[in-house]
Amino acid sequence: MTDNRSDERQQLFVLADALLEDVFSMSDEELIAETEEDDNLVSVPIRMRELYQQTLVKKRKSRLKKAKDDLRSATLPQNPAEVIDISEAREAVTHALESKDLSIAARNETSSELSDADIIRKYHDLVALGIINPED
Amino acid sequence: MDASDPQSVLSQEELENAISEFSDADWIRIDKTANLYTSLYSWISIQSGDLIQEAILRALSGTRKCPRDVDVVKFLAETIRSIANGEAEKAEHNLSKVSLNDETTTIEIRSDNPSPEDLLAAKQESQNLEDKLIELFSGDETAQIIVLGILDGTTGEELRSLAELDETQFNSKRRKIRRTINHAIQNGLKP
Repeated sequence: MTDNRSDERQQLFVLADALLEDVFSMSDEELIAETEEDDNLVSVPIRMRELYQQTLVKKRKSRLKKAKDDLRSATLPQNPAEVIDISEAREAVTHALESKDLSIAARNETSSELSDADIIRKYHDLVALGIINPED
Repeated sequence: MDASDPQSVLSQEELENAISEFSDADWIRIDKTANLYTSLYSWISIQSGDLIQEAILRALSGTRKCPRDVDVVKFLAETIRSIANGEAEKAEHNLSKVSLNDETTTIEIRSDNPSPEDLLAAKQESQNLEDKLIELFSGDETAQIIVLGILDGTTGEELRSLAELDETQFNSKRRKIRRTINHAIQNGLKP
């Protein structure tokens, strides 16, 4: 029974291919005439173009999501051990901003003006500059 | 043609532009292609619209690359065909895994007085594909010959010779076969 069904599936594959060949052997005029006969001449192209536009939107959303995911991965600390408590980070940045080693512009910022996200970014920047030692 | 050579395939932008410029007839071809496979492969669950969308997504994402010398409509139709065949084989593989010794299967008691619809359904279930198509084209021996030839794997010139038709007559007969099969499936025939 299973073999017979498998043989029939194979037959359907070749039948589908043969009928597809028929579709592609028709001229534009013949295709349009056939579709008109089926009363689908207006709806088919409209439906197809709408489907295409929906597909483009889907593709762009997917690309945007991937870009966001990539960006998120790039800005996250590579080492989970580097995840830092926000209050500790703020304290370290505050102390660093009071440091004489920083430029006037940097010192003119105060940690209270900075959002949590800004604090985290500045913390990592100051670690990279060697001004903050994470071990402290 | 070296598909790894970027110059030998259409860029994603070129492909997107080409599809945007499809004529009504081009879109009708794509629609007919998807409908053909979803109606014949009755055991797969994908809808024709989803099939088309998946084909376009694969083309625009670069998963499938269109050679520069290939018509984009044909390329998309071939992608649809490839996805449909893949789904069909996957579904067929899953079907073959179903146990035939399922003790939980309930047995339906058939009525002593089956309706004409029941009789037709039972008859269709017992017929193989060949029988169904022969019956569909009863009275049209040429169509039956062509269909049997197709199922047997005969193609092209050989198939046309088998039917003893010139090219125009053959194309016309093949068209009639396709439309008859489509119509029959829409009206309940299960291939």
